[in-house]
Amino acid sequence: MRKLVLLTVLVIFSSHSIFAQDVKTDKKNKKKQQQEKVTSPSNDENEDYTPVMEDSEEADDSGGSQYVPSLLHSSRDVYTNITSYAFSIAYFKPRGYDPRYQDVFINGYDMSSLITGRATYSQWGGLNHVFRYPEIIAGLNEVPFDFGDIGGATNYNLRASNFRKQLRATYSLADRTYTNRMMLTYSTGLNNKGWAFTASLSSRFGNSLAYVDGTSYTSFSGFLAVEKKLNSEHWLNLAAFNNYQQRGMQSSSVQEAYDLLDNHYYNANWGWYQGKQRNARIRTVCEPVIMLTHNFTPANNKVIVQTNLSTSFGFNNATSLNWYDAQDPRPDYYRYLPSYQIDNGDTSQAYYDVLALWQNNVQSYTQVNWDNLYEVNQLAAMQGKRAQYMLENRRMDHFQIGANTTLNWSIDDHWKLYAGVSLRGINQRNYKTIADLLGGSFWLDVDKFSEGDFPEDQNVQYNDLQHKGDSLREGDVFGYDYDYQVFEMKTWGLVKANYNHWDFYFGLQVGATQLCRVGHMQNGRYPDESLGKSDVRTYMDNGARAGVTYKINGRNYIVLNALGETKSPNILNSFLSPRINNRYVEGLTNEKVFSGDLSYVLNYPGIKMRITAFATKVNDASRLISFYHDDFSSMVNYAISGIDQRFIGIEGGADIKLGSMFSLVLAGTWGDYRYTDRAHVTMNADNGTDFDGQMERTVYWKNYHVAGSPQVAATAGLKFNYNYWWVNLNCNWFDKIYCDLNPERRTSTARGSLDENSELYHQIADQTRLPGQFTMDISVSKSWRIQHKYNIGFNASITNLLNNKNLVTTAWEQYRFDYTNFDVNKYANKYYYAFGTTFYVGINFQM
Amino acid sequence: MKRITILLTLIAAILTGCDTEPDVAPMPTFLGYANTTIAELLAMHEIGSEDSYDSIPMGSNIVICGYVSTSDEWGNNYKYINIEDETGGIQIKIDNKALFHKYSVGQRVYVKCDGLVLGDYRKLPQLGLWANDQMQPIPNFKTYLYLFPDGSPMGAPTPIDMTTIPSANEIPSTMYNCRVRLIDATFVEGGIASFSEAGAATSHEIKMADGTSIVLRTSNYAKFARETLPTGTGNITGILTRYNNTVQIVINNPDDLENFTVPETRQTVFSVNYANAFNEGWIKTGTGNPWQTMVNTNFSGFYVSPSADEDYFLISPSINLGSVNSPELSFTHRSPQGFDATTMMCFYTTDYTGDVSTTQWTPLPLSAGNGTTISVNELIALSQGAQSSNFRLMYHITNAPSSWYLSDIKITGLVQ
Repeated sequence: MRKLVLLTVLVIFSSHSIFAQDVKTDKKNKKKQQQEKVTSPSNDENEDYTPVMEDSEEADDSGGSQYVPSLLHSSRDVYTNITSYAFSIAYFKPRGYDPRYQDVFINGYDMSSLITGRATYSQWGGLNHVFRYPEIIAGLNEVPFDFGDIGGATNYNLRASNFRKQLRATYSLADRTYTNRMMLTYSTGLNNKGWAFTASLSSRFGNSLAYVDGTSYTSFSGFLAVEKKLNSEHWLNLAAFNNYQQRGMQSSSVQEAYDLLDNHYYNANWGWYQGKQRNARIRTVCEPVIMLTHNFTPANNKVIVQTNLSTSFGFNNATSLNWYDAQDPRPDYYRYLPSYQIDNGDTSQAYYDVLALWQNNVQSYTQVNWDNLYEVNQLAAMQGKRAQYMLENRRMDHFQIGANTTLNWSIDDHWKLYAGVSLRGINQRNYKTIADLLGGSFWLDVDKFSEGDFPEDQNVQYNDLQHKGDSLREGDVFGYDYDYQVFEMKTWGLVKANYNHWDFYFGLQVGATQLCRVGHMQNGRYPDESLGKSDVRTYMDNGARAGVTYKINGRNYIVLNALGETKSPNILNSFLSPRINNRYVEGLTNEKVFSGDLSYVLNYPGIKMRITAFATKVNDASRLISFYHDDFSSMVNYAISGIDQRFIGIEGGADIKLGSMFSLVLAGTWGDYRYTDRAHVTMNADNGTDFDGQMERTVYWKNYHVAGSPQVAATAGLKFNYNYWWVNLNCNWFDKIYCDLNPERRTSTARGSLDENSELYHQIADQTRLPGQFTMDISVSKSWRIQHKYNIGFNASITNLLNNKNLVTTAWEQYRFDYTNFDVNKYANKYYYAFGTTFYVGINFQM
Repeated sequence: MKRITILLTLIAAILTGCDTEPDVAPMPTFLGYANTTIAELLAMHEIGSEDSYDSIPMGSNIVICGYVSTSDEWGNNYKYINIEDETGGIQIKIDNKALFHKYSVGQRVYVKCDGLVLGDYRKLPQLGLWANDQMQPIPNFKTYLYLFPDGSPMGAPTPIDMTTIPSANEIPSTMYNCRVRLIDATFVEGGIASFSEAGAATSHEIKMADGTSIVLRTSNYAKFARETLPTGTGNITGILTRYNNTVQIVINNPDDLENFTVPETRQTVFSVNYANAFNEGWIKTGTGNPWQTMVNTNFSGFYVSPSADEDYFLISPSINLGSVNSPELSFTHRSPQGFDATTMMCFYTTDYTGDVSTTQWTPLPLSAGNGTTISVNELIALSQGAQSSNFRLMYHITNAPSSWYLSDIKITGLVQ
């Protein structure tokens, strides 16, 4: 591996010598290029984030052989600027990509979790004063601080010296997930002794105006950065931040429940307990990050080397109800709905009884009945029996550490080299503990789906053979307990050249990821394969990318980018039944990603526009899902491999000035995101059912849509700006919203002998498309400058002005499938709806 | 700009021109072949005295193949399917309901028999799984190990026609669990009893034309349990089973009962109440004394003595012969002055207009000879067209002086 890294670095560096001759011959453009106005997007005073082009006012429209300035991708591009908020209400994902394809960095250090592959934004939630104005690289454009990915990159500069001297305070009131937000930040700026300090505190709290019943939100965040200018070339920065957050979660539910209650925000997670709303799903997150950053800028100003040493640790816990040999406590469980009481089209008295309970919203029935859970448990306790209900903690404790170095070298007037090395490792412990026995006396750690199935081997039922039969109490570990360990190493380089009418770059990345599982329980179903360390697997993460920009003139550009990479399988998808054994998914392989985009960028003072066509192919992705399988009467793990997807589409945005006060903004995307081939499934049951090896399936979902984001989105808006008044009005349209697929419904097993043209076949196989929806947003802000010293700002926004409550943001088919009657409505689709009209007002003081 | 437009158009064409038809999962297929017939499988087990079983050892690699003949859609079969090939049939016990979705009638199913148990319940051969010291249905979550639907369902297996029912032991074991059709079978309690009584499965005797009998066994959970057994004779298609030495048939649904008809008998479908005939719709025309009725011990009927040479009509009320097969008109008549076939006639119509002259009448041939003075019994087969719901008779006499006596006017026909 070490040789491979060295070889890569040699290749990257040797690329300069290959092109050196050309560079030397092109001196005449040096002067022009030096005019590049490299803005600092993270500069706190840069309030206006319209797309930036170097020397835009002096740009040469005439073309010819004169040097034409290059595009700066590290500024907000017009499409991103318009859509980032306008589309957020619909959970829009740019180009349909999963967030793991979007890189997020702090001081150039990759913040994505090695477990999920995604950045955890909540780690810096509430710290808006300091996490402002990131450097955003949209789409496939080259990234100066990393090899990048198909979903672009975002970098936050958290160096204390980056914040000018200031005191800033903000208070906001909202009626969404929390009611109040307070933020206070102080920065010293760089003092005469070369020190800079920045501290920020934030709190979000209160649920009196929360949009969804039963939800709650309490968050405390803190940030501290200290930077020392060691000398003219060396800077050392220490940053630490954390966001402690506790949230009462909202549930998704089936349309039947929403319709019965005439409320698209019905939350099945809560119930009344001792006169208060108590939520069964409380997520608590505390994952602090500490980062030491060294910057080296030699006097010649041609090289910048940034080195980070970073760690993060902490926990992410979610409570959930658990039960044993008792009725399902979830109020919207399918058996508690009126539709379940209909037998062959006949409505029984029970149907009308249940219907009345729902229509009258009898909350002892339509919400969690805590009193009943306590009563059942207390009765069992009086008889010396185990608890039948409890609240469990599903906990993830992680410790991640890593280091990286990035090099930014202006080799000469035309050529630049960006390169970096990154090493990261994580250990995440996944386990469950008993949070609350709900009046019960003790808990036994047995798998309810295994119990009784294997009378010849009683050990099968125990989740932990080393503690079988133990009477567990609050705080005790049960169910599963294992570590995920991932180690990642990457090195990359990107060479960029700027010439009169052409810019181009190419880059390479070589990396590897190692992963394994370490079991802390000896599971009764897999006594020889659950305890201890699994095999260690290694996968390569290699990539290559290239791009070219044709600068027609200083106003018109054509940009072509391409990227190909392999990505190691995510550890979450690598183990067949990680809760109970060390078995890897068969045939696990690297994901292959190929992507290209072609843009036309227009950049006049009065109009800024970008239109891009993109196409991406993802092959051999994998995914692990777990669900209760009716046919096997057990929780099963459904490892899908060979997932092939393509994402094609066009996106564009334009900002057109209409006089000195008004601007018209237009943006939209049309996408077509589909599965392009059949996938392979390996299935394994948690209850130990012997699948005679492993159960195999083929998922026939070619040409079905990849869900998770509207594939069509458009917005048109009007901006007003006069005398420090800003008013924005946006009208938005979302369409091609699809329900996420249950792969099992696209197998031969689910089809059985159904005729392809039969109604039942289409009920099972057809993908639900949700209706397109229209929303409107408005925002107003005003700022005052007082005595040339103080700034007072006010802002207010109303989202979804027309109170449209029919916009589905998330939809998925339940994985459970009715193999008895093939009734797809028995386990109906689940939905989340976007909030109706909500507001957000805030005042801001700065000095 | 022009080149850009062309490029974007090209991209759009590529994007929209892709094949986007959603994939279709094929029906399940079995990658293998059957190496054993059902008859060969059945031969591995000797029907014991009561509920005996033989295990099929692992490694024997026995695979059978057959077509599903049962359906639990109507609730009469519960937790089992029957499959049969050209050599025999077998019942496979499965611990699940609504099996008809997965194993619909006519579905080809391969069965890997290794590890299963072949036995009999009250001498009816069955396949199941050994558990808890007895033969059990195959748990639903294990069916994927043994049962493999293959391809799309074909038609139901062709039934074996049976016109007689041998004794239980005379029927070969391979024939049990097969689809049979009883020809000309009659429910002894047809029209009286329901398929099954509430509370328990019910047996009903079926008589074959040759006098042998068989039992129809129906679950009280069958959706058609409370429907009445048909009367008459017809064909019954179902699965041949046995319960010890009782031979039984089990149907999937009432559509398995075909062509049940009650034999037609000749019955009087029309006669005349002479005491009140003209109040009951008989129409008479003619001057003087037209048609009259007489009711006494010597004669009951119509009589007429025309006083002028003109048309004297006697028209019956509307008679419904729509559901009558082979209708026949019979009556007795006598003319004391001698019968004259040119002046004394009988007609019928299927569409009386209300006006004698505009109605299309069809003459009926009378057998009495001219000059006959004695009573003549007429029996006239009405043609096929007479089977109308608006059938009327007409007697017509024109010459005077003469008289004509009509009695015992009746129409008979074959009705069920």
